[in-house]
Amino acid sequence: MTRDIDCAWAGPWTWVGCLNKSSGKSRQAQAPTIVMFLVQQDTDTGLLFLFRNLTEFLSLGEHSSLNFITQLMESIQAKQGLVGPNDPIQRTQLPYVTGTSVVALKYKDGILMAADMGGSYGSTIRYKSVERIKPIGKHSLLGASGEISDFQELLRNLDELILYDNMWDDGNSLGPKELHSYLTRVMYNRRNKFDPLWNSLVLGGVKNGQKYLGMVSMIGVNFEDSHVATGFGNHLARPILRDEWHENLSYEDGVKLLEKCMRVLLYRDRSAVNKLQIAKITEEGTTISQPYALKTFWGFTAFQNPTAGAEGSW
Amino acid sequence: MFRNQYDTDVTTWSPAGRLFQVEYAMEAVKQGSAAIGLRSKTHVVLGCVNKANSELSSHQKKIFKVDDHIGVAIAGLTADGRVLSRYMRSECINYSYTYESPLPVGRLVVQLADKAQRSWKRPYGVGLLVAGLDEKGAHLYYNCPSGNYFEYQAFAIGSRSQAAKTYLERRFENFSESTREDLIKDALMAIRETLQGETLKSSICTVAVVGAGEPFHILDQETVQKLIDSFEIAGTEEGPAAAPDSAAEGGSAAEGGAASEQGAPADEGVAPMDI
Repeated sequence: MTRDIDCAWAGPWTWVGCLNKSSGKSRQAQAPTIVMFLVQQDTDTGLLFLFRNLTEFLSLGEHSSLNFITQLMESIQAKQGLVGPNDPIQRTQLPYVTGTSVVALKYKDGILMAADMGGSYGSTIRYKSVERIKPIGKHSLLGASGEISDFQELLRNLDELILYDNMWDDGNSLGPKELHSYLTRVMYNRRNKFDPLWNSLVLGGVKNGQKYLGMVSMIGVNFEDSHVATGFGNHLARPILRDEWHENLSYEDGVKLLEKCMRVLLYRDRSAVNKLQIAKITEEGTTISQPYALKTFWGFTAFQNPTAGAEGSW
Repeated sequence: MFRNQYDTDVTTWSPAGRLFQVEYAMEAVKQGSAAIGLRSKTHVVLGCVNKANSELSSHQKKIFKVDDHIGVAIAGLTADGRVLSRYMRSECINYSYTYESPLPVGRLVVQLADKAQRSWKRPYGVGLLVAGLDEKGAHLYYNCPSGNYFEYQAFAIGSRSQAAKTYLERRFENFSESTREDLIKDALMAIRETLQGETLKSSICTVAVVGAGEPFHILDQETVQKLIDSFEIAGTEEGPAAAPDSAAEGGSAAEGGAASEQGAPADEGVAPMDI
């Protein structure tokens, strides 16, 4: 009698184990028996399956119980995020709720930065009103892509920094250059501890007439440029900016250019949502626009009758 | 100041509300050789009298560069001064590393003053004249062993500093608008005041400058001697040797100034200086 042992993997803590005592037939036809075992690294004892849902079965085929356990152990270890008692200490994370690209450029009076308001949970667009651009102190704007909770942690951190800076009350204040350097130190030191803040940050600002725009990645790579982007923006928006950006863009031209970039991202980045904010910072101060949507065009002939060439498809 | 039963410990108050140990520490500053500082809107100049113990030994180092934009002159226990300037350098460099920006002087002096307030340590027996630049302009601060700090337009500390202070008090209102050269000249004159009749030579004094676009640096001996000669303020025991250098704006002003104030002109028939 063959025994098909099925187990499923749909994310951390969503193990499903089913022991099917019958053979051969299509799995869907059998009523599965759910068995719970205890997981240990040494293969003497059994395995623990936490029941969550019964989707995406993966068959291990015919094996003796010991082999089955061994194979399953390996597949457990291969799954990210779970660490056994004998493993070396590590704190590598996975991002859970993520924001997509941020695009920014220098214009005549200061910096313009744009980001959409989406927070994706894997492939689901879960949150649609996430503010991913925030003002920091009097002189800077911070935009972030990547893990939203890490961005919020950074904001708390920077809040305290700016508070202490203000408490000196001596006329000196941290400008965008100082904040950029500080963030680089933070990101790099976290990466060295294998505990990164899973973000790509864009820091822009104006102080004493000097415009500043820089980027810091989650491993601490940092640089300064006239236009920057994170994530997909690097591939889709920056080529546009390289061609069309020039010194002393007016505010209207800057916004138009940013909207052009964001539109391309909207069409082509699956985690983009059509709800964005554009932020502006000048010597006078910061303004973050109300959320708005871009006009899109889907009336291409190829979309009109998509199944024209293959009846029955969708 | 007399010895009394409340002065053994820095943590003991006297009935009159004084901490004698701190006051004694301030006395130590008065024993050190003079240091002076003065500032304009864009530059700060520090100067000090550097007497060697004997002809065989080198001079005590009293002016320290803390960062490109900050320098300090000390008076009192120079060993304490060395320790504090090492602390200041470390603070500046740490700030620079994190923020890629120069530490504002005002914040450094507050940190320095706070360091003085440790009850388990004796007070630092050194007065510090901190000169520096930040985005608000040029600053000169005096940090004293009590943990107080004040900002000054011009100041002098150490032995016979009162003479220099008197000279600076007469002139300080013009310092804001002074040029760099005038500021250095005033510093040299103030140093000369503390010498009480001795000739001013570059071998016994040190001058340092910091300004907008000019990192803090100590002027070398030849430059200082040239400046002394060109300003013609060496003193009265020996007139300045040979003809003075092309003095730029300092020369005629020095003659006029020197003649009116101290009666020590460059030509023959020098009158004795009245101190």
